[in-house]
Amino acid sequence: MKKKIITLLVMGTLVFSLMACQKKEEPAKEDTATQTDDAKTESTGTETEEADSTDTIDSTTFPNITVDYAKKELSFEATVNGTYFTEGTRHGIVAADGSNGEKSVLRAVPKALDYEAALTALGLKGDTAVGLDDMKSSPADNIRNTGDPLEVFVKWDGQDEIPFNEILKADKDFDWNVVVTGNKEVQTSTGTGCILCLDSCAAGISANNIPVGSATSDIVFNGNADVLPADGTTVTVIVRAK
Amino acid sequence: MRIFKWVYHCSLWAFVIAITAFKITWIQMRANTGYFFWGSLVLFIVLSLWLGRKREIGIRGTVANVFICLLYGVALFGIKRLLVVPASLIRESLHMNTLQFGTINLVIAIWLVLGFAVIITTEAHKNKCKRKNDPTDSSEDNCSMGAQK
Repeated sequence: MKKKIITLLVMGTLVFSLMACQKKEEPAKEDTATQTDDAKTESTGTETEEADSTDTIDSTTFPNITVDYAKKELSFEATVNGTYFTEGTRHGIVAADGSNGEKSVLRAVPKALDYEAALTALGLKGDTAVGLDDMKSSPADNIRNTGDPLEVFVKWDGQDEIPFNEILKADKDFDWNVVVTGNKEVQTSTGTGCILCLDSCAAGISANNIPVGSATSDIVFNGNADVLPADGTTVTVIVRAK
Repeated sequence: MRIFKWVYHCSLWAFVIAITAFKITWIQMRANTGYFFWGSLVLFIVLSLWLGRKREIGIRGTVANVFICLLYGVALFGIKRLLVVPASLIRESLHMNTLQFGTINLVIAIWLVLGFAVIITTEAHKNKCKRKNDPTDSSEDNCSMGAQK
């Protein structure tokens, strides 16, 4: 009897450990997806009208995202994750509620799908050039995202806008060309929360379009502690159409 | 006290497992490595209480365990990163991303130092009592703590 109880406890522990490899459940995923689809339809329909009107800033349609149609830009808040001042990562910005929410240099407040809807509302498109199967490829295969180009900036109290690549450091020089990926479907099914990947990706909504695998097998990226404020500080991310 | 000692030693082994998982980028980028700590801790405690019910780790074993585990951590990450990685994986597992690394490190340091001091003091007292052959010296007041199982 004693042995059986111990065996059950051991099994339970193993299951608990394996849960670490499971993706987070998103109970409200369906609702969120529906909401963002509605929001997208609504805002896409009124996009031209809003761009022509004097009030071009929309901070209500996309939760936690402010969209400026006239400037063709959006902005949102994020917090600095000090883990990646010393550790390597391939994630630039991930939504805090995503399964990769703790794996990025910046932890974003909005959801990845709302970010995707906001980009779409600005008329920006990706080409879904990278599939999930491509994620096993090496940089030599040169598989890249090739959607509409973006510029990404960061600012915080006491610091004017600086390009996102300046808050990064890497063990070697790297190209920096952020594009829209068009990965809405994969993002919906995986729930990773990825908003900006540091190399081409199948799940991120936008990505630096160096080849898939570059940030895992070629370049080690860190947050730049000499530039970024302390762990936990709130910053504003600004994304503009290039 | 036996359970406390096993929990202390198991927490060190669980940290070794968790920081090793964190070091493997493939795992670190895909899993909540903090769960490796808690999962391993429970597993090691169960196994220790089961397999180690007639064994105990003494002073030398405790010193060696602490020394080897810390040395492994330093060799794997270096001191600077070791002040971030354990705190980071604990924070991730608790889903409390506003917790400061300094706070978590303080709790870890208190656990490591106090736990070590308690185990060493208890074991030293127990050994002292065992060595006393003169029954008049081995009064209940002096050895009651060591005599208790």
